[in-house]
Amino acid sequence: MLPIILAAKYTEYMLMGYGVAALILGIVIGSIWWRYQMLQKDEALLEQLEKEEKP
Amino acid sequence: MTTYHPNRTRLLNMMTYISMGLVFLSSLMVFAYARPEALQGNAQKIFYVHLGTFFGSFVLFSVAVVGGVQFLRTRNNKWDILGLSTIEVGLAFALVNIVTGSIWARPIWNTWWTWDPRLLTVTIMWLTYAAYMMLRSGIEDPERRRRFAAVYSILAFSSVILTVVIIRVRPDTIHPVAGGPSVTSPDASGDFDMSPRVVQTLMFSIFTYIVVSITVAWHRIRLENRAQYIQSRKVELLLNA
Repeated sequence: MLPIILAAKYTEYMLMGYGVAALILGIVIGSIWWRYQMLQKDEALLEQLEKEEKP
Repeated sequence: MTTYHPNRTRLLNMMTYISMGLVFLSSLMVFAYARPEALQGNAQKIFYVHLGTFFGSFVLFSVAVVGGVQFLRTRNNKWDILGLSTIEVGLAFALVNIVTGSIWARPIWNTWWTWDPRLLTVTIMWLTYAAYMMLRSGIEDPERRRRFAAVYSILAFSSVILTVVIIRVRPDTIHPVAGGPSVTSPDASGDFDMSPRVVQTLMFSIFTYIVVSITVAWHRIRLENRAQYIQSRKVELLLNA
């Protein structure tokens, strides 16, 4: 099956299409993960500040 | 701390693993099971991600309408978060749909882009939802912002309906119609004129992208809940300082 697929024309467009799709969805998922990490840092800082506030 | 019922977290984790599995299986079907089309070659395989992501964005934009209606009914903030999250993720899926369509068009239509009625309406749809993100971030009063976003998300869905319907009512479109009747082929009954392997791969890809879109949107909802919770704690800390 693989030789049939590789022998067919326009393979470069297929790879470009799936590459771009993976890139865009990867950016979305990556940005959610990155924002979540930033929020965790914020939360840790808040907890530290709250501890310092309390005598 | 934002708390969730453990069953919900378990379900989200399960959906995440299922989504990963579906993407793997769908890739196997696209690259190893479905045969290349005789005339379009491997460019036709773009069709699976192109149509799948359109269905993903369609489901998310539909959910945003439900969020908008529910917010106007109940004024509960969770519906606004649902609308925001589904539209943000839906925009990304719609972008994949547009870009992959353009890549497919290059070898088949001999151009990256043409102002065909379908391409025009899908661009209008994408810009309408992109404007939602920009406009809502420009409104400072939270209650006004939520109300505006709810009404906008309901009205914006008309651009999705227009995009779906346009290829069936305009005779001058060159965009293919996957199934169902259209002006150029009024007798079509909704069957796909494709080999069984192509139909199976297409159906599986559509299902995969719908599940993936819902899973990513669910993670985005959790992120927004957490962001709003931390924001409220910051305000509380500042007021107590």
